[in-house]
Amino acid sequence: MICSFCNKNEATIHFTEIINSKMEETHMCEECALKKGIETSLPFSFGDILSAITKGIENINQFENADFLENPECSSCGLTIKDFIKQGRLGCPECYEAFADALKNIIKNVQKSPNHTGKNPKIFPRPKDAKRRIAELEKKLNEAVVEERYEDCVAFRDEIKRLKQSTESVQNV
Amino acid sequence: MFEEMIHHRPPWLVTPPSTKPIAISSRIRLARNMSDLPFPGRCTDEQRNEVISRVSKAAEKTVLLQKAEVLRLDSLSPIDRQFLVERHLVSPEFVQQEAPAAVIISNDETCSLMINEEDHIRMQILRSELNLEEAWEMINKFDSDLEKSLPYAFSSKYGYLTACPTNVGTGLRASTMLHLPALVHEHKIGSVMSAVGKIGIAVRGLYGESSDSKGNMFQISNQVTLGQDEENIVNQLHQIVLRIVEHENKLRGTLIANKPHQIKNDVGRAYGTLKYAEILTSEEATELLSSLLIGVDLQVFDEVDRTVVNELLIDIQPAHLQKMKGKNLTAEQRNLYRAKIIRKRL
Repeated sequence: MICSFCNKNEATIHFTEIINSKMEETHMCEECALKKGIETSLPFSFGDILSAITKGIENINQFENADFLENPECSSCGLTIKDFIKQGRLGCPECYEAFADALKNIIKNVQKSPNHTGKNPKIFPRPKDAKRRIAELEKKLNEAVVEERYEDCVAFRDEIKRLKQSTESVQNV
Repeated sequence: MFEEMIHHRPPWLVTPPSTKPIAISSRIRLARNMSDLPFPGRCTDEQRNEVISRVSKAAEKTVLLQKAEVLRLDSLSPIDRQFLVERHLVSPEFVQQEAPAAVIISNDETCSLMINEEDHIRMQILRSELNLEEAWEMINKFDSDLEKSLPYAFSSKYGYLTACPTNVGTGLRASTMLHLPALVHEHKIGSVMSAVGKIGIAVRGLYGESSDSKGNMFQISNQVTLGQDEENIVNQLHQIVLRIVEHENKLRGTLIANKPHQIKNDVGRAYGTLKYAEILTSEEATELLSSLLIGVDLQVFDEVDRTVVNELLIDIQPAHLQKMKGKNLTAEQRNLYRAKIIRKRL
């Protein structure tokens, strides 16, 4: 990635600015960072991995909107971004939704791709598995309707509903 | 339980006498959390106890841990805790905490499950030599067993949700312990580390985050947990380990061809010191045992059995010594006792 200020050197410093609650990413080389007075040595010391992954947000500290660090807060466990930077750990599963924007950058830095492609628990089938299962169930439902097996109808309908919900609701996280 | 463990070797350490593994052991661990509770770091003691109770009940229903004892951390002495760390059954971070936590270990030590480490559940399977695929199969089944009675935190975008985003997705960390004396001797270990580092694989010294290694032992593991499926992660690591092993083997061959006297001298001196020393620190003993291991593997030294060396590498650790002696020992006392045990067994 090339520095967005000089358009010449390799960008080695990446930070995220929050202006009017809009997030913007900036990539710059060390030289330009020095010129702009941006501290490149990190103020915190986490584990080796964590310092690298939070690089994206630490430099927010250098900007006027430092009160971003107090907010937002996870509505479920009360964790703030500042807590997260300090501890390097999220507070609860809902934090992934509460800090979705910040995490997007962090995850981009440390992971291969932002989408899970591995194992799923049985109750959360992979979207393509869920689709197949829903199609199967719909067919069974139609048969049950024709044969007037109403208890089966209810069971099939409920499972279809649950499958549809589980794939839709989590896709937003 | 501890009494039994002291007198039995963990099966992952036992290898057929004919094999001379460079890959000593393989491990896979999975991180999982409950969907309806905060991660352990933000749990109240009450919630942490709730997690212990739920997970223990779920573990009882699994094939691997149905008969295993639940060890609450607060019931373990500092030496017991250290013993489990030395045995690779729990992490050093796990035993350092004060809050409610527990560990469940299968009788053969193949499977262990930490409750309330950084995540609610950290389960691992440990196998001897390079057996990552087998370890994955075992842990996958075990995880599916547990899942039947636990509501896992999961999102279809990010996969299994973990306290640290470095584990999210598969929650899977696969690692292999490698004995790499030739790469260290020929100063090639640095280039191996940086080469694999570029593809998301980390190499660490055995017990730490740093690249310092005790006894030329290294742990190599995947860093990426999201965006790649489990089979891929495991297979990629397997292939990389094979390459490193090949590299180490080649260098060992060159070493023995070009510097036979130097190698024999190193091994003989290591044996001499181990056989006759009165005082041995853990560090010195580990280094010397590693030298001995390479002598055995390169067939320049046949006075000791490989199994004896392997066992000593485990037994000379501080908590193991104190467990064997049955009482607390100071560092000086341990150095004397360590030397005594080594003299006796060689």
